[in-house]
Amino acid sequence: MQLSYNWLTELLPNLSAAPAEIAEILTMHSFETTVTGTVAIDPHVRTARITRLIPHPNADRLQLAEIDIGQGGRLTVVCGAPNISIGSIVAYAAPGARIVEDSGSRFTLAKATIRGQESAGMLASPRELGLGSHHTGVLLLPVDTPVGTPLSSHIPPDTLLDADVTPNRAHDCMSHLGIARELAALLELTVAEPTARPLPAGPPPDWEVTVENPIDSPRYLGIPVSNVSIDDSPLWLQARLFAVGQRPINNVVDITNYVMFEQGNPLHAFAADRLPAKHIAVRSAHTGEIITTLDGKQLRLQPRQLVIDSGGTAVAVAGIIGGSGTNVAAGTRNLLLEAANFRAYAIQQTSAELRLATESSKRFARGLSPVTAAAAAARAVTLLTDLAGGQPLGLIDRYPHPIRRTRITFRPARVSAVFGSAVSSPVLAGILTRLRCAVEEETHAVWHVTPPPDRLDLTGEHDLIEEAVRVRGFENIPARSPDRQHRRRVPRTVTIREQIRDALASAGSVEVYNRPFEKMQIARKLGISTDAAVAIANPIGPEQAYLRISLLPRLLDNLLANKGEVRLAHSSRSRNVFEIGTVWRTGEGGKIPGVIEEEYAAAVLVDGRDAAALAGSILQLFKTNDTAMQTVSVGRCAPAALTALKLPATIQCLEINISQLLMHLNEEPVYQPPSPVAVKTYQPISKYPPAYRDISLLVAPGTSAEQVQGIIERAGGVLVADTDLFDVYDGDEKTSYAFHIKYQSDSRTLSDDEITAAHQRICAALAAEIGAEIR
Amino acid sequence: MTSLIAELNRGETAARRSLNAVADASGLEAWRAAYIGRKGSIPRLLRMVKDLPLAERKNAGRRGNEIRQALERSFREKEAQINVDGKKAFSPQSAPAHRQTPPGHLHPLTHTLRQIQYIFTKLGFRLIEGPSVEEARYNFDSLNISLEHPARAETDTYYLKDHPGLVLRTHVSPLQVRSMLENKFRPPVRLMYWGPTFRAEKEDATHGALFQQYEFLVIDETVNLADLKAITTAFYSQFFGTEAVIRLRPSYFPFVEPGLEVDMQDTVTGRGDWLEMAGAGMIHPHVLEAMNVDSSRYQGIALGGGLDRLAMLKYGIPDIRLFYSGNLEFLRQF
Repeated sequence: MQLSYNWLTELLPNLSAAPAEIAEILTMHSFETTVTGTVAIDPHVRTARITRLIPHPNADRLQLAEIDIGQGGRLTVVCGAPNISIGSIVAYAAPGARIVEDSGSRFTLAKATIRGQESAGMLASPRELGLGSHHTGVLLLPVDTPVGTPLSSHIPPDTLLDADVTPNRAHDCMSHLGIARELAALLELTVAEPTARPLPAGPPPDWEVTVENPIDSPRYLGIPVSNVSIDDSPLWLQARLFAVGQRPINNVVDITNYVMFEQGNPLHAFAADRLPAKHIAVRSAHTGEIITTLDGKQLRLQPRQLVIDSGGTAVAVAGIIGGSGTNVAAGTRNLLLEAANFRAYAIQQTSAELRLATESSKRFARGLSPVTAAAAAARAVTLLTDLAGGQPLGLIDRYPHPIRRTRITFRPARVSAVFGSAVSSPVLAGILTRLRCAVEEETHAVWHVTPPPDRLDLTGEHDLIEEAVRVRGFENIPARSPDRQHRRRVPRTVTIREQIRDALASAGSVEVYNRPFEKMQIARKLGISTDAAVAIANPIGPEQAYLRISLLPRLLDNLLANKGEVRLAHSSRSRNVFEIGTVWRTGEGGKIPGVIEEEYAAAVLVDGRDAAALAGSILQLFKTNDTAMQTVSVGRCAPAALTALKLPATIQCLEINISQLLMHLNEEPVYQPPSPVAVKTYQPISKYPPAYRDISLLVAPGTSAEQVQGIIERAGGVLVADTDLFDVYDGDEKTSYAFHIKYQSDSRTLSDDEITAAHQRICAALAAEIGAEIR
Repeated sequence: MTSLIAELNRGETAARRSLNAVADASGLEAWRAAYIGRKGSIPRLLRMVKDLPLAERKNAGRRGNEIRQALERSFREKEAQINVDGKKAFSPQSAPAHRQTPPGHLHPLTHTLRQIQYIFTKLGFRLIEGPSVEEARYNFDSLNISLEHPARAETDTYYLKDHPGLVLRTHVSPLQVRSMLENKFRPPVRLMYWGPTFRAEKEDATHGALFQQYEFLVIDETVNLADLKAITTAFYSQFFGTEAVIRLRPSYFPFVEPGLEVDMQDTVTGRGDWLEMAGAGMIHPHVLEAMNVDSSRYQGIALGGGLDRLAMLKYGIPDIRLFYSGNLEFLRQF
């Protein structure tokens, strides 16, 4: 929820906290809030009136605007905006003004010649002034705005905050008034409630409102207002809307928006004369019913989605967006103001189904009190009267089941029991009262607390405890040491898993964690039956179609991801991979009905190691019965699959069903967690692919491998990412070394030519410096 | 133990001496049968490992396996050598005898998880595990997240095809109720659980479709926010090896009330700003009731956070996707 600091200070005249302090206070007591930016109109921007418009001689879309900048000053600027006419009051930015670009960055305006015509500055759009993102035309100001005055005197500097209102507070805090009340409770301030005169008493003649299902629309207030004169909103109101990211449209539409951001309840104004009938019905949509929205989009509706109907036609999607054709525009004289309350889940569903989220739907979808609708209606009618000359004709209020206020039994001692230190009764009573709760102290131990009607989240004692605790402040919770406890034994599932993990790692394998999704392509190649695989209903991509049924396919994927290294015949680096994780299949008998989850350990051995021997050595870690071998499968991977994946045919695999193995244990496994390893710091790795070249050389006996390696790395320079000695042979007359050289760059994929050149440099250096004979 | 290890060592010496004398394929086959075949001397000794006293078993088993693997390697090398007609020549296919088993590596998330398990068992917590395919009633309903609750719609949940009512758990919190009911636990309890969790969302450097969570829970008659603060501070201090400074601030999770966010001052990188570490709170009375725990008598605390995040902070890893990349160059750093 975007907040204007100026707006808050208007509602809290005694507020002395700066924006950053407000953000901190709300973050520590209510919800995370940050200062996001400022609005500050550049002092070089002044009001001006267009006195003459001449087509640009050299450009069809440009005009030369002669403007009056006050005190007799006249200037000519080049302007391409479509929305200007003679008499328009505009924002004139003189050279030197800082103008906001599309990207959000600013540039300093200078005198310019545009297509041969000199322009003494520019007429600025809202975006160029830092007032939101609108850039379809220049900012037009009310016709009564004095010319030659700094724009900042009409739109004063403001600071913007963003409150990440939690769902439980969306009932009362999605508005400036709500936030002001919250701050008033926290800082012991008084809210200057906005002026709202009582709503008209009797029903208006001729109008009717019917509500099909009061569960989905608990309240509907309809107020016909006549004789409005459509105009621009006063600048103070426009400034408020700019601050919350809205574009001013006309006084009536602006008032409905303004009141939503002030009071929290969305409103809608229909042009009454354009409604098919003086009858409003809230009903569910017909199958396939089509409505064209305000912004010209066609929506196809379904039953269960709520519409506002007039004379059999849907004129709005309830609580989400108005329809075209009945919107308030220039010339509208009579309105029907709607202030309603809709069931949160209904709006949530419709908004999700239509993929349409508006400021209105966001508020209704999280739940509002029907009481807020009446408050917002009163405020809006007051403003429509004062700012647009409207006359309310009466009120229809369909509210068949008024909400009951809950009276909560509250034991003040419970607060201390949760807080961890004593919170006194007077402090508690003060907090609850500032939160607008009615507090009756029946005894010193039992109170009755009635929360305000807009706090839908306060329904039980635990809710009041939370209120007390957060207002009191979590920073006041005492610090202490945790209770002393006996060390707990590690359960066997953990023990056996960690032992297998250690065994696989100490046999030279690298542990991976894979995402447990798959397409089943590799699984099928490996001949793994995928009939029982569990499919994901809503995968993000095709690679998430199924839950894995075996760990092996993704382990082979891991080899492919490291294929440069894996395809080397030998390496002194570990390249075997293993994983311990869950696999799933359809079936009964597990914890979850319909799906069997089992934990496996699996390894793929690249280095020629014997999988059977490895599996045997793992089983020997445990006291098992004779049939424990059933839980293990080992062997070569399907050669055809390996060939298809261009992986070495000698790869062996191993799988141990740990869930099953647990049932073959004759004795509890014992495990001491290893002492924590020293903390390592991650070294960034290049995202560009490595290339491997081998070099084998004969050198004089006594030449050390390190010496050779030093020459390789120096001669190869930054392109050499690693040198791996993979073979040594000490002959009688010569020593032979073989290295893999890994070429890789941090900034690009290396070309063959670059690598060859580096490799030749290395060979030359080895030959020159130690007389190496390159084989 | 010493005697079995000594016997294994003697067996290895004998086998090596004998292998040096082998000159042809038939001799090699005889050697294999005598030393490393199924009935060979080394496997025979290895089978005796399981009869050793518990404390000695591990070392003997490890030593035995090392010997057997080393001998198997030597066997293959000899085999390759014989296959090139006994010609003693350098060949990349015949690995030299001095080559050592390269060290394996545990995943950084394993190191992290082990440390968490170590700290929490020391703090008296019982370690619990549960399924990652979860029933919606545990993932949502029993945690006070009704079908109509906005939090349910806002969570990007993976659903299973043909299995209505099943989801990939979006957090490990369903274990609060599941583990209490399944094990018929009664307060006082201290539980710690962890595991993979899933969100159907596009991945970026800090959000994975798969991520790991840890959570702890305490229920007794008096446990309160001061205990939450104490346990959490102790946990992060021990995990990062430096005195942790934490701050609690209000937040909202339907299954706790008060609900709060736990921030830790960044002393790990030394920048000092507040890092979001975990969500926490007092267990909501509806959730206690779902556990069959009398909420008028007992109260509980719970805290859950991202294990990936702990590992990223501790090791300075900038991108969560690295954990699941299978990149050997990354994994061999740990």
